[in-house]
Amino acid sequence: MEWVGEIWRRLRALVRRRQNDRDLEEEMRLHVELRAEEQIKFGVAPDDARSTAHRRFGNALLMKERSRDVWGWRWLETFLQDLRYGARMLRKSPAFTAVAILSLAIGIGANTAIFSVVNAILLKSLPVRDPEQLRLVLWTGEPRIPMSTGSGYSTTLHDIEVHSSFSYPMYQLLATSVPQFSDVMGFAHADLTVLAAGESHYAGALFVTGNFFRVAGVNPLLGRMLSPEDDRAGAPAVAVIGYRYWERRFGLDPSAVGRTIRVNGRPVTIAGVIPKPFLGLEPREGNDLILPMALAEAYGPKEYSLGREDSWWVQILGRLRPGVPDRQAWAALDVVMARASARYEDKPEQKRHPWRPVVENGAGGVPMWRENASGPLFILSGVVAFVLLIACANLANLLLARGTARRREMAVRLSIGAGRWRLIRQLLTESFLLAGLGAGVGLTFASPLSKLVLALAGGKNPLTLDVQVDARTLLFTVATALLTALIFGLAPAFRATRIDLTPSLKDGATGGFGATPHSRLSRSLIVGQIALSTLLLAGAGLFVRTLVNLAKVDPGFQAQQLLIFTVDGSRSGYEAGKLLAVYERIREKVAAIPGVKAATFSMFPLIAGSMSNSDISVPGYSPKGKESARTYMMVADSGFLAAMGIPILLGRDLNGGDGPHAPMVAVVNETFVRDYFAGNNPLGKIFYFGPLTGQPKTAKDTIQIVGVCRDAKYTDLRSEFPPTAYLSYSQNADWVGQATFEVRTAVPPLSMANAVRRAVAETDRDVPVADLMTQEQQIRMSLSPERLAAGLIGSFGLIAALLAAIGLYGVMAYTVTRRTSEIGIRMALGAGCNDVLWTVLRGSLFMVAIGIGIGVPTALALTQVVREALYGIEPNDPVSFIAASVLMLAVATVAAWIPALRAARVDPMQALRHE
Amino acid sequence: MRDEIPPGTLYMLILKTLVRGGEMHGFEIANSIQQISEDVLQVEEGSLYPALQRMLIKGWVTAEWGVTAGNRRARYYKLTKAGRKQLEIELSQFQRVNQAIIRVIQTA
Repeated sequence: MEWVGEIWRRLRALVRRRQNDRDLEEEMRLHVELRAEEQIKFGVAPDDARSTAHRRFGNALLMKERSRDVWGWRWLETFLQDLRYGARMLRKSPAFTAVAILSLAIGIGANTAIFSVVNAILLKSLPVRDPEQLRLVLWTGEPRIPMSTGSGYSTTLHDIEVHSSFSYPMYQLLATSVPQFSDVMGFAHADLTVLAAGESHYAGALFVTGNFFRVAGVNPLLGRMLSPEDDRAGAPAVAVIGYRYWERRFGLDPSAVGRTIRVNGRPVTIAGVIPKPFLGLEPREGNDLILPMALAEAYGPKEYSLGREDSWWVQILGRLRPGVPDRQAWAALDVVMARASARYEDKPEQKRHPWRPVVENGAGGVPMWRENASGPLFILSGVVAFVLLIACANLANLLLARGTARRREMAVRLSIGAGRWRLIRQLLTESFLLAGLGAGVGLTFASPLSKLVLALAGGKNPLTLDVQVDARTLLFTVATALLTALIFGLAPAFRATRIDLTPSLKDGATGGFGATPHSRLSRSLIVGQIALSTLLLAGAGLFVRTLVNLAKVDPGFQAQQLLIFTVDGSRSGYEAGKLLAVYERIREKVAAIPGVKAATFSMFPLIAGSMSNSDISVPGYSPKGKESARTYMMVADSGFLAAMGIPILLGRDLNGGDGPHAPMVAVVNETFVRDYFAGNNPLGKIFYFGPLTGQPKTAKDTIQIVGVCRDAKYTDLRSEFPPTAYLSYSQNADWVGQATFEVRTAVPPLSMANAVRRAVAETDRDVPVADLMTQEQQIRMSLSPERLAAGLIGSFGLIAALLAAIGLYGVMAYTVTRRTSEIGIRMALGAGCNDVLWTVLRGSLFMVAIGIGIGVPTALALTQVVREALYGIEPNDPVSFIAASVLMLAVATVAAWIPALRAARVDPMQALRHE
Repeated sequence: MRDEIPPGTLYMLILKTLVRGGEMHGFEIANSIQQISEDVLQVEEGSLYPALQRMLIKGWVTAEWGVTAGNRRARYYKLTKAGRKQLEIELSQFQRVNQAIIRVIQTA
């Protein structure tokens, strides 16, 4: 334990540095005085006595230094001294300092912002107890157990297709038969209609098993969390609410706890508020409410059954016992699942991929699966890294120029005995100071920037992710700043201290003619910057052109003057049969509003990413290869096509006559006809839902084509027109769930918003109106990832070009200053203004040309990576590349023009006299 | 004739001096070493102070300001328990080395 005391004493020595210095000095002085007095007592003359005392004492200054070394803080003192000196030097040239800090702030801030998004999406753990023990239980293959999926997701993981949902009985089985898990939790998302604080609205809910909060170790902010007692049949209905929901709906009112709200029409008492850091298990699903699983059947969607083995909707999260390998848990799951599956007979002709478990790290909750997020994040990380690299090159260049300007200072310090290392350390300290200040400024806008990225990336459902700067992000920023300082500071520091003393002291700042060693390095840096900027500008051009191309896409229907909104009466207690009548009443009410030309409703809005599709079989059409025939479906009110402005090309539209007892009919689009009828007239022809098995098809699955309509975009603008079948609600009442209303208006659509809300409220007060916007807003929203890419990469490209221009300007201005006398001589010998202008400009343009010459081929190679993200252009799109080159050239020419002009205005007499 | 003290033995000398003399200030320590060695051992007096600082950091001695007989402020050093232990270590080490050296010289 001796070292503890020693550290403590050293720290005390640090704190009492000044006092210690004084003490040491006093005691040394006393020593010398006492010795001198002693000598005088021996009869030595006072002067001699003093000198003897000093001689016997030795070098007092050195002894003091050595004593300080013993305390062990000399490095810190030197560092602080360097820092003070560096700060003084930076204050002396405010313009340089401002440009340096700003460009570093942009570089480091942008990197921090993107990193904090990467951190939130890919790295951060849930704010629960021991998150690293959590495992998501997924499955792959095909179970023999009959199943219909009611909730959850499927994704490709390690190149296999995995699925997330199980039935509740399967959850119960797994929860009790895998000893490797100390606890197994089940959960499921649902969007519910809530009536709270006098207002009815949609809320994102999570049903969880009773052990959830105990296992997660999440303690209440207010009230209590859910317990296993709440998750029992017949227990009083309670829920806990998320912090953001509490803030949004209850204004952080503590009396929210204990209040009763209505969820899907039934009363639930709020038992507590979840602390702020816990945002739920999945970034895309808002967790406004958390309810016990026992309520899922009564309060959730109809698929959420607690008893049925064929209804699959529960996701599973297990807590692995410490020290147990994943492999063992997997093996145990495999045995249980195989046994459960084996209880079901397989039909002899069926060859299934065996049903196997997949155990995946659940520390981050349900991840936004990497393939969705990592691609764009990878591109953005690359872009911001380039920006920082350009900022580094800029700084290095500015420092090189400064180093030359400070030659005299360095020469003086070297000649009075300062070591070269000491000077390098001094210069590096200045670099660290700059990087630190840049990082500090950068941090202030990193957080807003990352929130902006998330908001734009999320579109309608902003990602509920915590992108606050945390310890890991801070560490990243500090590391980036340190690395940055080394990158931009090291070479200039070495250059600045490599000095031939005699000439430097003799003629100060002005050097000779021709290229100095530093100028070659700084020219290469300029070329590199221009190359990187050209690359970023070309990339930005590609994304901007993609956005423009997408915005120009004709969706195939009239998107203007169209108001859309979504209601879901199924959660307000209406049974499926009555729901259609409610929607029709809403349609009538809305259609009667003055200014409304037509109103209709459908399963979901177009161009909103929503889709529904089905395998079909078309007599006379044989599928190529393994792909079966497949169509997208839109079940809608019979006036849908007319109201949307999708023209009927052949046959008739759906109409009121296509009732529940009439033969099933559909209108299909041109692509459908081209794909499945080789372009021949399909009117009166039949197709079936599902594959042909030899069994006769039911009337419900037999669809007659009565019309052909023009192609229209469906899920998004980017995809090709899919084969689409339009079906009417009146013949497909079991499809009625939530509905999106499309309202064609004669006036600006948003001016009708209140009238529309009133009309819905008059029909049923408890059915909330959601996602009210114009169809054009919906389309714009569908393009938000593209807008984000174009906006961010475009801004960063411009910033990069600007930084490169500043760098070029700096170097050229400096060169002109150095060469003033040379220019003077040239002019005295008869060179005209234009000759001089051109000479200087030529030097710059040469560098710019090489930079662009390197940047373009590099960009050509790199943009192949983003091919998937582009639309309507190839990665080698000549327009983008030419535009980028021209823009770079223009910016660089302006930057070089100013110093060139200054050179042309040199007065030869003055320049030569100065020499 | 005066001799430089052998390297590495300064701590031992200071520690031993403090055992004998109790609380002493720097000047007294320097004088004490010289007198007892009958002026053979010469300390470059200033080098006492870095050594004392190191001993303070190591916790072998503590220091307190006091007043000398001549009514002047001086820093008095006192041995700690850890210092006594250190002295034993240094003494035994010194003796071991010393004997070894003597053996080498005599057999030669």
